[in-house]
Amino acid sequence: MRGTVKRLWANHPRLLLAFLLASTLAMFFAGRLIVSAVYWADHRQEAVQAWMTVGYIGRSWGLNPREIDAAAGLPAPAGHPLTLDEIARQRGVPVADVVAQVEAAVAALRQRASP
Amino acid sequence: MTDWVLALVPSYGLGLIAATTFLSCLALPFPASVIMLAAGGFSAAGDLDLAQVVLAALAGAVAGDQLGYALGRWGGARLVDRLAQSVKRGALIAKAQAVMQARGGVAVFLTRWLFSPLGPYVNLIAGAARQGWLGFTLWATAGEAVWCGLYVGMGRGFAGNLSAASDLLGSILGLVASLAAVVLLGWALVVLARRDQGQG
Repeated sequence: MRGTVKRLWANHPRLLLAFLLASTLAMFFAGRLIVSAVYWADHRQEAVQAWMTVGYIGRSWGLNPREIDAAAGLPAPAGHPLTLDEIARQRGVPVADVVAQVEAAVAALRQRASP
Repeated sequence: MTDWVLALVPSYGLGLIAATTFLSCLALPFPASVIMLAAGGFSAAGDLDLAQVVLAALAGAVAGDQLGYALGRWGGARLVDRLAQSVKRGALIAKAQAVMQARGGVAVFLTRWLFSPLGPYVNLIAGAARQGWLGFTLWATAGEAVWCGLYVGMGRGFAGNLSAASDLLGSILGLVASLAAVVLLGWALVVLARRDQGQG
């Protein structure tokens, strides 16, 4: 075995290095996969952002979107689903206000869900 | 991230998804993977229909591949040479050419999803090298189906967590690609070691 590796190193150093590099990369990706799988199992929820629809936020936080609508004082959906950005534009208010309302609604609903 | 593009996904839906995959197959820098992940998430939330999302993404990608192939076929070798003058692109094209000569069909399939940065150039080269149209179309469509299914499916599975989906998918694809390299290089080393032993 040792002799084989030595001979390969003498005859095909670049190929052997490429093999070692590929193995290192594979271990790196496997490690990263495990670390992120463990991390994301605990951090499923995604912070509320302007591009999201209420449905998307409900899905992320495990809440009923229509309850979020009601708690945040948003209109019930009509036509295609609206992003928070579009809701803010329709109302003529800054999108940060709508995001804050939804964040407050999510926090309130979660508190109610886990007393 | 590309927040303003993501905000367009629920509004412009299927047309936007098809347009992004179409443009990204022509090497235009459109965040097709992020958009497909988001669209998968929106489908889980009930804002978009899953089957329609996958079909739209697939239709755009297949159309983009066909245009790339046609450009290669009619624009031919001259176009490829001109594109290869840029250093960064030249390296990508040289790599794509080498892969094409070794294994055309499998190369087309794998450059759809596993080595996707090479995809647009493989399209041009396949056309310029006059790879058969039917074979190209079948391999390309199969590869794009994997690409679209993987990203939309991951987006749906991790609905409501875009960063988790793209993070995990990045690791998975990196792992698959590096493991493939380990197997190929390992096999080459075994063959060479046997041959050396026979000589020695």
